[in-house]
Amino acid sequence: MLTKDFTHSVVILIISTIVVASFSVLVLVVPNLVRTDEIRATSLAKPLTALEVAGRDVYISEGCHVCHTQMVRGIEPEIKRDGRANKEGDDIYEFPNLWGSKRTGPDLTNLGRKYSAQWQRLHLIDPRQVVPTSLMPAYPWLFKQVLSGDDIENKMRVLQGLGVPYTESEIERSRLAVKGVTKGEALIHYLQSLGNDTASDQER
Amino acid sequence: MTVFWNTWVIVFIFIFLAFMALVVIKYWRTEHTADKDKTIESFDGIDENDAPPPRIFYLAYLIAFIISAGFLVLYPGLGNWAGLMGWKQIDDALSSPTTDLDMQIAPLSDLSLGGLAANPQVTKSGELLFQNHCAACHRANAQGQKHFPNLTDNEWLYGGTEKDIIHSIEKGRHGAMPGWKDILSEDQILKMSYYIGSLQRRNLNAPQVKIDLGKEIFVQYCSSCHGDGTVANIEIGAPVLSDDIWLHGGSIEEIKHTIEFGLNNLMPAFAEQLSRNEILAIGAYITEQRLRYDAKLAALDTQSVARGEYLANAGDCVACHSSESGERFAGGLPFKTPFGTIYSTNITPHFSEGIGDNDYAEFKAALFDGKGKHGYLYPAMPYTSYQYLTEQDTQDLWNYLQSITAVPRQNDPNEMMFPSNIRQGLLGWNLVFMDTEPLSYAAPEHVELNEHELKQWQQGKYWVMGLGHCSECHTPRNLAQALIPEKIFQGNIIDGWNAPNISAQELHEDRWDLESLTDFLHTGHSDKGSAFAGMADVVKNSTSLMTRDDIEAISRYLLVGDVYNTIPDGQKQLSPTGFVAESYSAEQFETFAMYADTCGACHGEDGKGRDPIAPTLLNNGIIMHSDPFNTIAVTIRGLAPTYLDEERNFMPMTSFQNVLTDSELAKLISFVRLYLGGREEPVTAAQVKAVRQQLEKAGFAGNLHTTPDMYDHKDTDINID
Repeated sequence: MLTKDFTHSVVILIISTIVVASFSVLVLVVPNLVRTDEIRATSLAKPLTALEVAGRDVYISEGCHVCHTQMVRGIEPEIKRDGRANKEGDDIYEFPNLWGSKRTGPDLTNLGRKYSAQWQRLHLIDPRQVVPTSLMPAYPWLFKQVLSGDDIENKMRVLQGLGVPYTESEIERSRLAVKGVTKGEALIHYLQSLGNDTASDQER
Repeated sequence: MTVFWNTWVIVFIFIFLAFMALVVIKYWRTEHTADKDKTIESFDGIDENDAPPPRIFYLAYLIAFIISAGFLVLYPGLGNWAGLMGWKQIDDALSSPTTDLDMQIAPLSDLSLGGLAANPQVTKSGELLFQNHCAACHRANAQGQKHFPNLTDNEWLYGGTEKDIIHSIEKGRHGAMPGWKDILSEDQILKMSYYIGSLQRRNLNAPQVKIDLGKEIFVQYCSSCHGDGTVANIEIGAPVLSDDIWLHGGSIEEIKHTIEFGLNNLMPAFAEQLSRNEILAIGAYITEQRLRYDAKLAALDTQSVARGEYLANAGDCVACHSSESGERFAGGLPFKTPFGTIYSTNITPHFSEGIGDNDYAEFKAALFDGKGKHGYLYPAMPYTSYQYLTEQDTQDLWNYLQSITAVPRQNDPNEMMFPSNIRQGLLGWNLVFMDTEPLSYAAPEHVELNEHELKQWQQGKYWVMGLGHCSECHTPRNLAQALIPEKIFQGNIIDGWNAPNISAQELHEDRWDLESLTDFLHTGHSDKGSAFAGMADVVKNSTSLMTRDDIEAISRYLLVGDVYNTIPDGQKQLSPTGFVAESYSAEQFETFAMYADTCGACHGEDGKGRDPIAPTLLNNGIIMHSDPFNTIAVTIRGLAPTYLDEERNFMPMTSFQNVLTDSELAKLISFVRLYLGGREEPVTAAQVKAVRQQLEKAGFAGNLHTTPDMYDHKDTDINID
């Protein structure tokens, strides 16, 4: 047997930590990796349009995911408040996923179509105008800054490479769809898309 | 999972557990005994002795392993193994019958919204759902906000039957109105806005001719959806335009914006997001809120509300608590003070934007003591006067304010400079400057009044000192903007006009009598001139809506006077002669010619005014007034029509700012005051220059031009030091 163990050597400590941790990978991650096709087949997720992809980038760049989760857990109070719980197939086109881990604001998984686009606009420009008790910051500049759409084709291609089934035609049209749209409008398009693809599955 | 991956997961879990167990067992075997007297090492004289790890560690591991094993047998954990307990994740969903809406609704037979609204369990669930799904737009109590309708007021864009309401929630609604910016000219849209604004009672500064023209345009372009503006069309969600509910804002500016850019208003469909029962519960909650609102209105005594409306008119609440041509009582009028700008507030019963969250005691505290719910009020709110209201009148006023339409207009943030932006400081102001002594109605000592006159005087004092808050404009203020009681009614400069001296002495000297003063206050016109500027608004919104008896009482009180406001013995009265032979004499002729060219062109060569062009200058209270400020100011500023009375709208007065020099004006005004006002002391060029400079600095000078624009742009952004 070994004469030394992890209490005596840093190298042994690191190796044994990796071995122990790899059990989780082997048990929890590896089996699901090979199930990708199965998950895709049953997933209701739809790829985002070019404008929604641009809006999603605004969502990330403004740090929305720092205060808003996109992960409804399968427990009653959460479902009652935030709608249908996430399922493993929901996020197959999300790179990276925006589940988040901190809920300063409400969960946004099923936000789409809960409010009108006009409300979203008023709310982003000044949250207090529509919700007096809101503590969300105001984002008025989003409706002044205009997107050029210059890099949207590359973004779409990267997503295509990661497995999002964009067609060449969609990628070709993407720049024209995004060019000239304000950041706020793109963000609203993204927000209004949230949870729409899974709206038909309201089984709880 | 396939058998392979199932086995894979199970095998690795066992391997992992076995590995962990082996590690623990190894250490148990090597270390559970030790010699605690054996020194392993010595560090600087400190010995480290050997000792076994506490036994409880190993015991804890043992228990943990047993629990893990039990867990894996009883609960899902090993691949597809479901566990002996038959537990499912969904079972842990924390639901209990008391929070389950379906169980609340299942035993009920009456599923109409009215029926469900009577069930407190269902409405409670509905309220929670409403807060979650609806409140961000319709506000927590369903009272709505700008762009998002009030659901409690019995006014429905798409119909208010239960079927309609459920349809609105399930399928959503989409209201669209095209924009007219590219089709109609800005002037046409403005005229139309005036017409739409004129459909309700409001303080609209527009001549009738514009409103009539606006109506023609409205009929031509809008009637296919809106009819004549007084009917709703629930098929397409077109609202009644003649009521005081303005979903997208009711100020002329907002109406104009809506016409220019159109609307694209969406209520999302909730059929896919909420279950049928959840939608029913939300409908039940809305219905309950609506019935509660109906009950609140029904509980108000109609007589009390009517009296309250009269009192609100007497107090001229609407003049300050409405913006220029804006919605009544919705606030937004700026007050430029030396300490910054404050805005009047929304006093409609909207819960979050107005005073809907106040109760009677809080209302009374604001009205009497200047204690608002969210801090002390600035004394621009004349609580120092309103405190003299009787209890009954306060109740009536409160009842009226509860009966009016809730307007969701948000208050503007005040722009007060430090330290006056700290509202606590106003407590000090109140302590120093507010006279909380009750008003004395004892007969005045300086004159003898008969019984009728005394009664009138007392009634007049109640109106003037209380709701009328006349002294707020007509009394000079000290540095802290507090009224100086010893100088009551001696006049003050406001918005570049002199709110004239209305002390008994001045009124007596200028020969105001009961009839002329009552005429003036009640109609805005009298044989001593007409109301203009701020006073025209007071007449329009307030005194013209009071009874003539009450106005006569006000006149009586002002003419008789009171403490600090008496007529000295032997006070002379002015007796203007009008133009006499001397006025036309050779040495005066140049001045008279100037008069005839300027003032006389409209006011008549005799100065007696010409209906309906210009009011009389002879005997005019402003010409006779001891301080020539307004006479000078009116020549420099010009004057906009007041639209007080359709039958008697005087023409706008042009500004002579760029026409006459200081010395010319001084000569002209001295001449007019001497013959038409009976004032002998001349006005000097220096006086004219001082007034002109003050008005120029504040941006008032010569701002009136007799082009069509003059109707459209009132002095909104002006500043007087």
